[in-house]
Amino acid sequence: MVAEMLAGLVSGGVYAALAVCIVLMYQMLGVVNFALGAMGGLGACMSLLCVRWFGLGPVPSTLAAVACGAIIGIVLGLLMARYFLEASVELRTTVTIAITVGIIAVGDRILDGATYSFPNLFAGPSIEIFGTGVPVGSLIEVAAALLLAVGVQVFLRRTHLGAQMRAMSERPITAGLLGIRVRTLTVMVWGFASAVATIAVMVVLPTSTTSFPSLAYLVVFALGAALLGLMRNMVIAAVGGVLIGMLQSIVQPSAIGRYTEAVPFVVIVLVMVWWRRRDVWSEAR
Amino acid sequence: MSGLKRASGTPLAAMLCVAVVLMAVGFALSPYWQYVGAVGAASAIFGLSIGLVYGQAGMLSLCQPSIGAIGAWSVAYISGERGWVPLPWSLFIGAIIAVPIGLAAGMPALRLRRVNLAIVTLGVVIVIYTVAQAGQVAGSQESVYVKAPTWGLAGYMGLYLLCWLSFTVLAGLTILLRRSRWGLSWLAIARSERAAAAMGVSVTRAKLTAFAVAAFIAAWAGGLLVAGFGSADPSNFNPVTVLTLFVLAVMMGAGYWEGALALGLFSAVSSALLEQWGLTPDLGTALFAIGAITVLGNEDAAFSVMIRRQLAKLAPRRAAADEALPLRPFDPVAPAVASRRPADDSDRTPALVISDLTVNFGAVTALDDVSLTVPYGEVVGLVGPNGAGKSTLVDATTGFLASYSGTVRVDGAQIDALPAYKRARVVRRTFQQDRTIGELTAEGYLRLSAAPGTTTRQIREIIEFVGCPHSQTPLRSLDVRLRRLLMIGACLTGRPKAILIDEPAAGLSAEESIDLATRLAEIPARFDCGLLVIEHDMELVRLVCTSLVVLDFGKVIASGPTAEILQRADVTAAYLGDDVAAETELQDEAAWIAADSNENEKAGEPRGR
Amino acid sequence: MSTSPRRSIMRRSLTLAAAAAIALAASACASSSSSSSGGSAGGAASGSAPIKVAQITTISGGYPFGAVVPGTQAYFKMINAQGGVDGHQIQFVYGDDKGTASQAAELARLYVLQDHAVAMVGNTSLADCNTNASFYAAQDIAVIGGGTEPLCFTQPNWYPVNAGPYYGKVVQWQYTTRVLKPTTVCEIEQNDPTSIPYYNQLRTWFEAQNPGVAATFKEITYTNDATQNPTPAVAHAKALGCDLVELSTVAPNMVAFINAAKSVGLDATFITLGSGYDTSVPATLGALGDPGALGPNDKGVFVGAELAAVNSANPQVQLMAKTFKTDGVPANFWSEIGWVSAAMFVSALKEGAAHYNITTASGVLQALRNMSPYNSGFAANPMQFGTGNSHPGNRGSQMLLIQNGTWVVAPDQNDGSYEVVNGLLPTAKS
Repeated sequence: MVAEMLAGLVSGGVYAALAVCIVLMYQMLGVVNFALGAMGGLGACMSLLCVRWFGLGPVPSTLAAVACGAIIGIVLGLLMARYFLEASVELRTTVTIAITVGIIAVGDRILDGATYSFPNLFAGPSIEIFGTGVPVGSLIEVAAALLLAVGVQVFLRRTHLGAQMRAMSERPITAGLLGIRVRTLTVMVWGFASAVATIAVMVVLPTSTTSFPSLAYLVVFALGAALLGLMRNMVIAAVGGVLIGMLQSIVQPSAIGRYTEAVPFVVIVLVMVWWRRRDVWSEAR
Repeated sequence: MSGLKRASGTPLAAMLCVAVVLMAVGFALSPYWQYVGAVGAASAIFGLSIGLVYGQAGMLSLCQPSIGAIGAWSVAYISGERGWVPLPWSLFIGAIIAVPIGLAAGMPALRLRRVNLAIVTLGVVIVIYTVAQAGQVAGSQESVYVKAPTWGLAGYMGLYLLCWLSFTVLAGLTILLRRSRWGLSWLAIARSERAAAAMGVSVTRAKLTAFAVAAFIAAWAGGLLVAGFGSADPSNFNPVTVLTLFVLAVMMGAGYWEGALALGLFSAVSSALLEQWGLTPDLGTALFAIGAITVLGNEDAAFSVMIRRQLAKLAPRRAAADEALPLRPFDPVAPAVASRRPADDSDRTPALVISDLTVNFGAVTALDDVSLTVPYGEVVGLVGPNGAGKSTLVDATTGFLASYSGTVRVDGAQIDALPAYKRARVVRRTFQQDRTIGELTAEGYLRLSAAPGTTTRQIREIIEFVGCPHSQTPLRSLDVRLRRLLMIGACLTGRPKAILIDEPAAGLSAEESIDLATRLAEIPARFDCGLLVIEHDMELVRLVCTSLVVLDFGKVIASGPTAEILQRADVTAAYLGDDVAAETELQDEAAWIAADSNENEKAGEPRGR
Repeated sequence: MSTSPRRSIMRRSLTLAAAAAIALAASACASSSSSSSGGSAGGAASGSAPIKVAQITTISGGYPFGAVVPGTQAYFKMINAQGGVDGHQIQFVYGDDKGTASQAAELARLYVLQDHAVAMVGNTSLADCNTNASFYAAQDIAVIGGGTEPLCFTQPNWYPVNAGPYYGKVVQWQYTTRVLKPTTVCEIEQNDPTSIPYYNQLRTWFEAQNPGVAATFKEITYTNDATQNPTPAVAHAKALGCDLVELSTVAPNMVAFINAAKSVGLDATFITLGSGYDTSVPATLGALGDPGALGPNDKGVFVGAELAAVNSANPQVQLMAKTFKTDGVPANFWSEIGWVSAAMFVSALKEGAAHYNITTASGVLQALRNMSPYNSGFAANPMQFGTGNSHPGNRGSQMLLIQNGTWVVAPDQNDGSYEVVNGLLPTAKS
């Protein structure tokens, strides 16, 4: 049991990092970014192309991948800032669903299922904890996700730029009129989140199957974790991500192992329905 | 029912024509294209399902095609493994079985905000896919085979006809439902759940009916897939496939039948062509993604919307059907209407009695022990500065606040235990913001809001009464003033005992205000109810209201006959501040206030909040 | 939103729609007799009718079967250069079904009904066997290809050139029991509902044949290696104390498993079926591939290559290796399947050309059914389509092991160079 729980930190770390980014983007940009896993996956694929086409070593191709991830985010951020700034949250979210489908179509072309050498910088060595080795990279990832969560909350609450960003997320037009550079900030957040997602995916890549959709699906469980945080609390989202990873890991070798992927969602729906049982009216409707 | 038929006539006829042509064309196709066409029909049916939940009811549910799995497994089990019932009857059984599952999948929609629903339904997609792959559910194994019917026809024509006939039936169902009360309620909740409930629409029921019907349709399509592929293959329900269908539905505007049809034809033909050209199907998927993003950026780019617009331009304007209603003349010069005495019906139970209403939002007291009475046949004005709690009072009375203390009695009966949509049977309200349903026509909007048993004629009379000359134009094409009037009209069709109208004159010119005033003044007597009007426009208040209640900081600071209240110093002070009140002569107060409001109006500032 | 972005989006979408409409219209006119899909290895028809052959393979979607296509193409190109089969050139088309039933079904009908292909050669797909089996039977289409699931081994018209999960598993167990002698074996299986019952049946049979083995086996079922991280399963194996892990997955996932084993600290030997045989695996694993990399229990990374290793001395294998090198085809299990499928096909047709019309589907099927055993040089047994209701022909594997960054033949094989199944397998449930 302990062994499996610790093993769950590998996926849990990715879910936590992605979940924090999901909540971040929701709070700052008013969008639930379904495409985050795909974006991170596409960025990670760039490291492969760097090795394949340019023969770069692990360090340069990793850096290049993160940069590519950031660029992918920036491009999408520009798209959103230009055409969807005044749209509703649902509309923007639907756009990210379309983006996910599009990126998977592209990613499937790059990852055609043969064995690859992805630069393996991020996983690192393992530490033995209670008899199971846990990759240092995953531990760092979990810690980083939590730190990021706390850090961003402090940033949003305590700094001037953070206040600007909160204003921007509530009322982009008004914020724009007040001189806040909404487009720039939007693009920056997209780029940042995408870079983080790329790093998160690269941590887990050595033990991932190289089927591109599976990288894109990582976001599904991160979304569940973000939902646990009610799309507000990044720390709960991060913790939720880790717990989901552990839950999957415990369930996988068990008798209901064939339903591993379903279990987190059943739990999440039950939790959500319980928490929101008194909600009647959706806000602003 | 006749209204239903008339309204559905044209789309239904058009759809039947197209469907017949498609089926006839099938005879001329090679077996391969018949097969492709059959699969396309199944996709089109999935499109109908997504279009219903997302396009019509506005719910971001991603799992519709996954519910098709239920149909697939049912058909595989019933017709394949057990051989109890052959196709096509098992399609129907599978669809019925899926309804409770669709309802269960829709339960989260009742409590979750829209984007959260998207996440949960994506989870449902994963769950169903996992279950499909596990192959433990009856009929979900790949090895359970079903034979498609041939009906004695060559090639795949039997399958082709089965699929397109299914589409015809199900598209016809969605067309009929669209204009029915269910369909109107779906369009309503898509726009505004509050407004829908305020019209007496049970939001819960609207959502659940949408999910139930959509599940039926999707499961039928799932069953057709089994007929086409021979067994229930989990790959049909893998998340990328499901999301791609969703994206296509957005791109094609599948809320309309022609959008769903376009989805089916487009996806089938493009996939077939890519196969023929030896190109990867991913190319099609990438194009769909781009198409969907384009449509999301501009909803007029949705395929079905484009088609409708083009057809509307080509067809002669259906103005003939939109008969000009005999207009009640627009009367900007009102007789002195409102120096009415309170009516003599003092024995009759008042229409609305609010007692000791207290509302707290955390530490802030929005309403403090507010009591007021609205008798039958009278118009009571509720005035006070911004932030006094007027809208909060309306929210509390009509059931839009989670908790309050005090009681609300309508016609003597306490309604505090009722949810908003049930209170709407006896008390109605309007909203300050425009919460009309743009896609509906005036008649549709009022029909949705109407009490059961209201005839079309009565609805038209009310449209005429509020002064709207168009009954068949979609509301989004009407100006704001007409929409506000129709909001009031919608209240009237519900035959409530009390109506609370929230700032009806906001944004109206002086002449329009007076016209509105004359209409409002007539409502209590003509419709046998009591009216509570929140307003800042003192001119209108003087013309319409027989008595006034003044709120300031959540407390009633004055109540009584209109003229008397308007002259009181504390009322002026509440509006203008103490120093100004001290400077102004008491007798000139009312005139001052009226003149001030008129000036603001002429300067073009919107009134009210 | 200001009007200009709206208008430009509108304009762009109209242009897209117009372009799409024109393209669709143009192709609808041209499509009725198209047979130019996919790649083609056929030369121009040289007076006599070409033999149209097609292939449906899962190329994208996370599985590495894509190399089957160039393998088949290379063989047909070679044959066509030599004058074809009995003077007929071979026209070859292929398509990617992405592992989905809908694509597989459409492609099959496209190739058979529209393009009039007479046989399917090299099919290696996750969906084809199940979705199209009855279609092929009804259309008299024979299929020779790579069997990826038990269903491929139980169809009347399907001949898998690989050993597949039945024989592959038993071969693996024989080798581990006889040579590797582990203390505790963890079996990590795909949670595929069609294969688990067979697997259980096989194991029961094997344990009955080999008393004492049962005690060493511990099974772990895990869901879906296309989407699940293997770390939990591997951690579980460590907790169970396993010193040998048996997999039945494709090469990229095997690499993922071994990486996970390293990170978790699982000290075990790894062995997998032929689907793990890919020449890039040793390079990807690096030092992890060598015996002892995971610990003292780690005897190495083994694979049951169901077809001969690409560096085998057999002349037929060497011909393939040479052709692949010239044509730039990657050399691995999948391209071998493509090559060997084509080779068996051509051999049967050459033999049957005198008696049957090999430009028709039924002629081809007859030729295959009546072919003499064909020694491919790649398998433990001769290949023969035969007339039975199922055709699992290849009953052996060559065990390979990674050493010094390359695959070498593992020592102590049963039959010298192959492990072959001894005794009859239980008949598969259908």
